[in-house]
Amino acid sequence: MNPNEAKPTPSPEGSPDAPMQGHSYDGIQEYDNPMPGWWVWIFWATVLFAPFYILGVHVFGYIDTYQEDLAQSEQELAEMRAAYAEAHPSLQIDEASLQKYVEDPAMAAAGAQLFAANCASCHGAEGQGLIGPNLTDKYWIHGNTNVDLFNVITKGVLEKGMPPWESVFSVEERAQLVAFIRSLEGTNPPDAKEPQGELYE
Amino acid sequence: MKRFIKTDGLHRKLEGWPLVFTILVTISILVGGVVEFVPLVLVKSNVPRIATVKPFTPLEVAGRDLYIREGCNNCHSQMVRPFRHELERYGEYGKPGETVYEHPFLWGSKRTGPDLSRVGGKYPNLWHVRHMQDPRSTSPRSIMPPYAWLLEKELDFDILPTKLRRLRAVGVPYSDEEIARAVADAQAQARAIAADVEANKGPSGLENKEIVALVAFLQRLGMDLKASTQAQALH
Amino acid sequence: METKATPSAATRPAPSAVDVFTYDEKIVRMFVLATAIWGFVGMLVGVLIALQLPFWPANLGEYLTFGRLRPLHTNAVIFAFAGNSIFAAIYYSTQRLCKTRMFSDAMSRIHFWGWQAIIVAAAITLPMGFTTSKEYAELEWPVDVAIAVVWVIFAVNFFMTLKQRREKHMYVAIWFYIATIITVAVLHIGNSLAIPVSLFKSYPIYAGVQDAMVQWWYGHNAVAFFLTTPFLGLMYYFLPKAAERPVFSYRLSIVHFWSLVFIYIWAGPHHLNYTALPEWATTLGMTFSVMLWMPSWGGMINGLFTLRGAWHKLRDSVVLKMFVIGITFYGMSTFEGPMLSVKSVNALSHYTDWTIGHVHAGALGWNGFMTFGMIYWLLPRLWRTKLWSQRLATTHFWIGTIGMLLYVMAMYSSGVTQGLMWRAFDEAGRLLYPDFMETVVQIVPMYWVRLIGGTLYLTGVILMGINMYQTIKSAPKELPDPSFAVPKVATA
Repeated sequence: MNPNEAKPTPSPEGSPDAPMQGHSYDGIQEYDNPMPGWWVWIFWATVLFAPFYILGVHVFGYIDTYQEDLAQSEQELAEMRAAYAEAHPSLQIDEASLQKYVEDPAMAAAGAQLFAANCASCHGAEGQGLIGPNLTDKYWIHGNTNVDLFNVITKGVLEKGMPPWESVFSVEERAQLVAFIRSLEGTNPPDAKEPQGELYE
Repeated sequence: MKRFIKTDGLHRKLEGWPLVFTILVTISILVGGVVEFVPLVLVKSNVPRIATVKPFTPLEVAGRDLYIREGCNNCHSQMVRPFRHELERYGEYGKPGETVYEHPFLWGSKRTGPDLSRVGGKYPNLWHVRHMQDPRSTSPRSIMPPYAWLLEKELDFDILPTKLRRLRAVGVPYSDEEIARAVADAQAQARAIAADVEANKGPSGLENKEIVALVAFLQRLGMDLKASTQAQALH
Repeated sequence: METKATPSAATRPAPSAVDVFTYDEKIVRMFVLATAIWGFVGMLVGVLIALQLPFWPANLGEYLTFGRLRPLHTNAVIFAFAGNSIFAAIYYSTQRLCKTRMFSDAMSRIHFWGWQAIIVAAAITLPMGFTTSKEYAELEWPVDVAIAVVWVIFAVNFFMTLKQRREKHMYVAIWFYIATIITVAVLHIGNSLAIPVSLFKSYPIYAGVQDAMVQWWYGHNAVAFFLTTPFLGLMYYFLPKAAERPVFSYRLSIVHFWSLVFIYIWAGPHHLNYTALPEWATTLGMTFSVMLWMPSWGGMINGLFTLRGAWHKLRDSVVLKMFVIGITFYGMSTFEGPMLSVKSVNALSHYTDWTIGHVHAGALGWNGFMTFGMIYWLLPRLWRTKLWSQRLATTHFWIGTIGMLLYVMAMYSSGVTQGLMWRAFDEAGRLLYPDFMETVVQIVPMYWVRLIGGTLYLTGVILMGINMYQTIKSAPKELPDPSFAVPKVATA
């Protein structure tokens, strides 16, 4: 059979399914079946949804705008943080409490992990200094007490490119980092960056 | 409706008139675009101006065009959305007035890497240089390819006055004077960045290379809005 | 009957009473071959960039980075693969639906060679970094001008063919072709208005918010009027032909055609939900996208219901198998599209691989499989021989389907995973994954799965290429244009 001589089998005369008269294009015929009811109704529903939604956001306010959504979720976040802070009284940040971390090798080890993942790219894998300053010598730009170090990690030094880590590390994690950095002093790694800042003995 | 689509209804007639049919299709497809686009141009309140948003410097224009050339926008968005998690991660969400001088816009549609619209000032110049040279030197697990040629290829300074003139033609307010000193301004900004990189023990001799233009552009991103919020805080 | 030579003298009516004409089939053969060749190239680039994501050393130097090749991939599969495919469909079906040869063979050839030259220009300029950055409109202004010129030639040729038609009424496929030709011209010119800086650099006249709006008006409707309406036209011709069944509902054709072309244009801003585009515009984009669901499904219904009473034919017909999968994927992605446009869903999906999964469901499933179905139907007819291997074609069908499923599943899981990680907070109210890199490392395995899926799909296309080559080799040397005769009527 020549494949192009395809002729649709005509439906029985008078059946509702009979192809339409005069609708034959290159052998293609058409039925005039009604549109499926569910199709029509869903279409109408989506059409009606548009004014409902548009008026809701922009006229009557029963749907939140971007700003309203944001304000609400920020509020929830603030409440979440407040509740957490209340339930977990943070450790006191002073020289003495940080010193306890510094003297605990387990804390320095925990800090080493955080350092490798987050700090090494700028301060070098061994703290020898790369883009950021050398952390293994006795020279410090922003002070060298435990609290000074803690504060620099927390708030960063934006004008020098040190980002704030407050939102990334918990207080404990920042204290662990202080402990690790303290453990670096005097390790003399190879290729160390030249001293920067003031000498602290 | 019935009259329109029945076997020998109006639509059947329309099927015999290609010209009328085509005109009706054209009208149908124009309506939506006109309704959505025209108010964006005519109604000023749709794009509130931000006083601190200024046109890019000539070097930043060059850097922006390199960003486009390398297709950075295929993996990095420049549009922070108004969600708390995006505000935490990146900073303030994007405002309409921020990008009024951006031909073309570079908001992007995919974040294979992080959003960059607030990256200005986040890292030192040297970080960007090293990152472009070898992304894994600054971000160990990064999947970004290196762009080391940016440190080798000479930057085309001479085309900058033409670029500024063309941008002025499409509405960016560069003065005659700014256009006249475009090359000198760009060279001065490039020297400053190159000197900073060198001072921090980075590679030397970058002041004529493409990398300084890209760094200048990246360091500008988000700074105008930051200046605006700082100005507001002062008042 | 058109594959036959002129009716024999015995049956031929008196010369004065018949109109004898031929169809230009050579141009269709040219477009079919170009479809297969560019499909292979475009998908090969796709596989390469899929490899570049989990394995960065596959970025092969300055000219072959992901940033430069991704636009090449999208342009190649949209404008070269799908483009040549719809031109093949239009040139084959319009002549038959209008009972006339194309208006001008010369214009047809200028269209063909002009379009191929544009594709070659794209393949050269995009890796060189000449790009506007606007998605699916990356080509710089000289190429844009060429596209406009070639498109206008195509349009004139098409509309003049309609003018000289011997069929009083235009069949629904033609309506969709008209919408395609008009709208693509409007979109292309509207979005490409720019002022040149040099031969391969320009700045668009729009800035910021307006540029974003124009770009996604264009970008979304490139999907609508380059990847949807012409393929619906293709479906309306080739599906009833292959199924040998009448189309399900004429009135559904009318309603879904007009609602589709009117509503689609409004949907663009859903690409800019939650951006700096004013919220009212994105609300319009979202609500019209939701409204688009049923008009899109009208096409699916008319496709699938046309097969009523012919489902048994699927068993033996790889053409119908391809069409059914294609139409099913069309239905799936046109449900998913409105869903993704809903702001709260978009908040999760946007900027992630979910979008990539969505477009590939449409592109691989709908555009790819409709094209393959058409090619398998056309091959024996255009080259007047038997398809070399039905089994190989069936293998193509299965390998393509499996590849596609792997691809979209990988992207859905990657997209949802990353979207959820980005927004996760810990109990202290801090981001659970503050380091972006953690969310990247998590989805790298999915990138490998996607690569496997894409490679399988490409393998299917290679099998089709082998089948095409062998089929064409067995074709008769001479392939004269088929001629056709109709009783002479006074032309309107």
